[in-house]
Amino acid sequence: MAESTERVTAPESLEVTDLDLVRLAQAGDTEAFGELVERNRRAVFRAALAAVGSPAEADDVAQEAFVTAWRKLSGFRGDSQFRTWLLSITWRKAIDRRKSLTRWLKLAASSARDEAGEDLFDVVEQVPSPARPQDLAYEAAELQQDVRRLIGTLPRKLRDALLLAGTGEHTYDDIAEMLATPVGTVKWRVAEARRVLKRKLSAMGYRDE
Amino acid sequence: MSNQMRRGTSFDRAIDAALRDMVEVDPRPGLGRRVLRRMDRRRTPVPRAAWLRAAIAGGAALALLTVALLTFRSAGVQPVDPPQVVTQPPAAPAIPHAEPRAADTRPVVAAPPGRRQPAPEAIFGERRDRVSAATVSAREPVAAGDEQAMPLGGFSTGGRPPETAIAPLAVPPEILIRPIELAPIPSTAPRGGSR
Repeated sequence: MAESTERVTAPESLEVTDLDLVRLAQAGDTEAFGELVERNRRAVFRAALAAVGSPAEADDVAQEAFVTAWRKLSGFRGDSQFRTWLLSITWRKAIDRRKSLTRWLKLAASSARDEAGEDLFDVVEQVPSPARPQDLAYEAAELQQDVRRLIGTLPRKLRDALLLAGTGEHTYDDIAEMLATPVGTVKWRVAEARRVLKRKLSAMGYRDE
Repeated sequence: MSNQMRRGTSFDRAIDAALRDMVEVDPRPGLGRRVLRRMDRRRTPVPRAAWLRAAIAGGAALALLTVALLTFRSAGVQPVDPPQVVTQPPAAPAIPHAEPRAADTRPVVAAPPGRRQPAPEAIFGERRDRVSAATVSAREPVAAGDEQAMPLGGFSTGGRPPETAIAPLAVPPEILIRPIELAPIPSTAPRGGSR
């Protein structure tokens, strides 16, 4: 919040476009590049997080993506937006990380156990706790846990599109650029992912209201 | 199953909430500082990496050049093109006052353009410095008149210097036949030993 307040109170910094900062950074101005990092850090981090699933890994991937962008900045000619170019670098780095470590599958398989100790339904049915809430909030939390687990079981193409769209930082155009896929395909994948999730939730006994 | 009896909220809201929980996460503070620190760390080995890349590129270029040279050198001996068969009208008559014949359309084997047939005197290769019983010593050159008087079986010396001219095989060597003189065989045994 403090950073956003600073930006609001310093209108002159808002007048400087990303392209201006890129030109300065291309001339060797690291402060200008630092401002580019500050402006895009959230989008970069969340894109990486959507791919690797772990905040620590996403932080590392984001750093790598920024350093790579700095090294390749001389090759950026401004044909596309800097943010789009940067997100493409980030996604490639994140996919490389995911492939090399196969972290996503491991995390997806163990996320329920890591956070709830065991599978949530098993805990609820086998070990009733006196502190167990019986209200709607608990049911919503339980449903959300199931949704998270089911998201981890989606096919990668559907899951990537759904998670990137769910970050709140990326437009469909950004996602299409990152995934090297037409925008229409991205929209279809997001909708299909949601359909699959709903179908699985219904199969689990949940009712959509 | 207790799940089947459980009434859930809207699936869409549950999905949105799960997505927010999963990916609407902010990076740890100081990401920009960490990035700049990593940039500083990577600045140092860059010249070394550039030097290494230049060395590798130079080596690769040298190897390519070597391979190209070897390839061109081995391709220097090219196969002789097959002779082309063309039809030519007859040349001017060799015998004067001969009756003109009809156009001779026999195929004539012509040498490919740009390649000359070897000269007749070069069929057996360079004869210079050949050692042969037929050759004449350089100290006894054949006179020009003798050369003309004794044909070389269709071959000419082609204006060679007289030192390398080849003597004809038709020169009869002077053979002198003498009666065989039998010399007594000297005996190695002591005289009067066996008698």
